[in-house]
This record gives sequence, structure tokens and C-alpha cells, in this order.
Amino acid sequence: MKPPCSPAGAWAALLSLANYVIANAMDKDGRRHIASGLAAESLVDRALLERTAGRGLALLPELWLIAVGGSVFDAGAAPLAALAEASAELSQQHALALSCGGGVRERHTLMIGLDLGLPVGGLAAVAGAASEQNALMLWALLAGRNGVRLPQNDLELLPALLALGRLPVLTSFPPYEYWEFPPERNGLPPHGCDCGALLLAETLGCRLLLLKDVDGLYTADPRRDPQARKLPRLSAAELSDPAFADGPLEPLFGRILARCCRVREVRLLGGLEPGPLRQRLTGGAPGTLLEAGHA
Amino acid sequence: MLERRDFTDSRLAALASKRPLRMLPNAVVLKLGGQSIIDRGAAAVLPLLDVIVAARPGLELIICTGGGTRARHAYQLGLELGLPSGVLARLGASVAKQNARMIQMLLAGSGAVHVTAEQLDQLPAFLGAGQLPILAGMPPYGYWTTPPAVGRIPEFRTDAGTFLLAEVLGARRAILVKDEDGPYTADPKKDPAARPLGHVSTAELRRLDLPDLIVERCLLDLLEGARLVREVTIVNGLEPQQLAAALAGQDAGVRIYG
Repeated sequence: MKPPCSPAGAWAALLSLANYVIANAMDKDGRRHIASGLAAESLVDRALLERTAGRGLALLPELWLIAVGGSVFDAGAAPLAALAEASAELSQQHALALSCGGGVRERHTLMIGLDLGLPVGGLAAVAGAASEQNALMLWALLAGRNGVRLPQNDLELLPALLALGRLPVLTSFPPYEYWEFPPERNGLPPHGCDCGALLLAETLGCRLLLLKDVDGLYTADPRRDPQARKLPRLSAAELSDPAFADGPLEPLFGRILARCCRVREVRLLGGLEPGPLRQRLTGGAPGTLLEAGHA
Repeated sequence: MLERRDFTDSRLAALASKRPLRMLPNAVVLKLGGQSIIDRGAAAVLPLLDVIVAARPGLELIICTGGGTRARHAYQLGLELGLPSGVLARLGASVAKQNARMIQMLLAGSGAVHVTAEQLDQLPAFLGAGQLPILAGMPPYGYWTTPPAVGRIPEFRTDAGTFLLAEVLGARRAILVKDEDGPYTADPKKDPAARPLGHVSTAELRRLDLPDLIVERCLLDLLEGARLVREVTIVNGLEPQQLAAALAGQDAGVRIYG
């Protein structure tokens, strides 16, 4: 190329360079692409998607996300106060965040909503309120003990709160809202508080403790069958077995867990008293370990 | 005091067989593709908007937008950095939102209004006032995105978001404007031997088990599970008269049905 020697020549050279850039950024059929490994690709192409597999970065590997189940809130003031006290104390030593389930008010909302004929996305859009109420109550309990209510929209502030030694209080119900998936057989939004806590733990690459009104998963319902045995561990595939469909976890939970590859530990343990939580944070293995897919 | 056993799954299941309410049974939810349409710029977008403006009287139209090449660029960088799907979903959502705002500006003279997920319950008011709601097509899952079955790019993107919006509203129709005549046996942009499939069921698409597909694969599950909207129409936006015919209620484009 001849070097430009006049202002007009320089302008022409600039234009031709610009045209060259634009022409090269256009696909032959007129789409403007940015060069990247995914440019002009279909993001549905199976071979391409397989190339994107990999475990990658864990954002907050030291965090313990404590999902306080709705059943713990429904058990009344005393267990909740004890759990709040223990969490505040443990958060001095460990990075802890509390995530609150909905419980019986969530299920009441769903029942009324179903009876009114709301679509599943409509149910999901209203059912999260119970989880928010519970988070507000737990925050109020912890207000004098470093508790900070962290709304889902402000999730990016979580690391800062932990660095300041605060104890963040979140909601577990995930923001699927009007975009909720088609219902499970029970007619309910598939993503409840268990799934919500798991999805967040997977994104954060942290550990998840699910605190419930049962102290683990059993071979049968321990409230009805005295022969029921507590299982120390269970794989995601085993959890998806229909035998656990009426268990304490949402039906979709096992299927999501099977896809998880970043969450560091998922454990279901008793939350009606703080013992199991303390035990886990001091190296014990209470409850039932739920093994992710790590695909 | 309310007892937990009053709300068991079996009691709820008895209610679940009810057919859900259709909130906006006359609405048509339409997605303008990102890479397929909006990344082509004025040459592809403006003729489609002319069609939309002309078709609008008497039509309750809701427009969703796709992401496209900027989403792909961000996904690529995010993948190289090892970021989780939940973060990638947020990156993709902001591109769809840029596109929604661009379409809103272009249609401002026709009463277009950019509607976020938080404002969804205002849709009936916007439509009732004769306005034209424009939404980013990405569902609001963000950091709570479901890990994909394969790889790390979020599975539920703007096709899924558009369809699920149509489903929750009980809309009359969901239309995806792309740059092909529906699904092919292979990607027609790469394989000259690819044949169009025409109207096709999700069952047939599952049987064919194609390595690539014109819609997000999760749409097959959604179409089969949906209670109110059981098909999507793929319209080739490079032929704007196809969209005009589809909006006029004619049998235009290619249907995928559950």
C-alpha cells in the first residue's frame, strides 16, 4: 500500500481501512460478528458445547452456605433463636451465609394459587414471599450480631460482607418467577428453596448445608417406620430414585445435583438444634452427604 | 396452627390437574433473534419493524430480543476465565437487554416500552394502553441458572425465555424470528446438503437426535411440559412477508409442536 502523503490521501486510507475492518467483520450473509471462539456458531451444537466443559473457577470456596429450611422456621421461636445464636458465634471463625426457606406459608400460597388456577410461573412469582419473610425475621434476630440482609439483586456484595466479618442473610427461593419451568407431577414450581440454595452454591463454588426438621435421609420415613436407617451418603443418581420423591428434598434437587460440578459439599442435617451445624463446622460428618455429579 | 400434612404433595397434586388460567389469551409473543437478525443491523431489522408496525392495530404484541455475537464474545471470555454458568447467564442477559433497548428506541414512535422482569405484572396495562412492550428475552435466572447438561453455556437462553413468557401469559402464539426456514437436517450455513424438515414434532426431533438445532434444545422439554402453549413458529426474518403472514394469523413459517 502506498503511504498517504496528503490529508485527503490519509482520509482515504483511513476509510479504506475502516471498510476493510467492517467487511471482515461481516459474515458472507450479512451478519456482523465479533471474532471469538463462539462467533457465528450455534450455541446448540453438541460438539461445540462439549468443548466448553470443565470445572473452572470456584468463586467462594471457603464459604458455608447454610440453607435454613422452612421446616426449621415452622418449628417455632426456640429452635430458631438457638440456631441464630450458634450461627452468629460460628461466623466469627468461618465464612457463613444463611439462606432462608419458606415452609408452610409457601405451601399454603401454592395451594391457594393452584386452586385459583394460576399458571406455574404465576405460582413461582408469588411463592417466594415466605422465604423473604423468614429472611427478615432471621435478620431481625441477628441485627445486633452482625447480621446483614442481602437481597438477591445485590448478590455481588456477598464477598464484601464476608470480608467485613458480617453474617449475610439471604432468601433461598430462586428468581425463576414468571419464567418457571413447567410443573412437576405435583403441579408445583420445580424450583423451590432446596433447588434455589443448591443453584446458588453451585455458582459460588461453596459448601452447602441444608438444615431441616429431619437429621438426614433415611431408607424409609423415620416418623412411620422404626426400622428406617439413616444414610451417611447418597449419590445424586440415587437421590433421583422415585423412592425419595416424597422425601424432605424437592424432586428436581437430585437432577440438578447430578449436573453440579463446582459445589464443594452438599449435606442435609438436622436444624432443630444447633448441634449438627456445630459438629460439621468442627470437622464432624453429621446428617447425609449428597454427592454431586462432578461431570 | 397450620399443619405441614395439610399441604402434602398428594393434596396439591389433586389441585394440579386444573387447567391454568390464560392471563393474556390474545397476546402474540415474538422474539427477534440476536445473531440471526439484530446483528445484521438495519438491513434486516428495519423491514421487520415495518411489518410489525403495520400489523399492530388490533394485535396484542409483545417483543423479546435475543443476544447474539456480543453474548458469544462475552461467553467465550467467561469460559476461558472459568466462570460458572450462573455468571455467564448474567453476561448474556445484558446483551439481550441492550438489544431490547435498541428495538424500543426504533419503535418509540409506535408506543414501544422497555419492560423488565420486575415490571411483568404491568404488561396488561401497557397492552391495554395500546403500547408495545419490549423485553430482553433472557429469563431472569442469573446466578440461579441451572447447570447445563453439556458444557457451561447456559441452556435456557432467549428462545426459552420467550417461550416461557408466552406460556405463563397463556398467549395465543409464540413466534421466533430467525434467519432460516425452520429446522434442517444439519446447519444449512455449514452443510449445503442440509434439508429443511418442515413442521415437526418434538418427538421427531428427539428421534433424529440432530447434533445441531435451530432452537435451544431445552425448548423440546418445555414444549412437552407446557400446559398452555404447545408450539412455536419459526419465521425466516430475511423474508419479512413471512412475518407479516404469521402476524396476520396465516399458516406461515415452520412449527415445532410438543
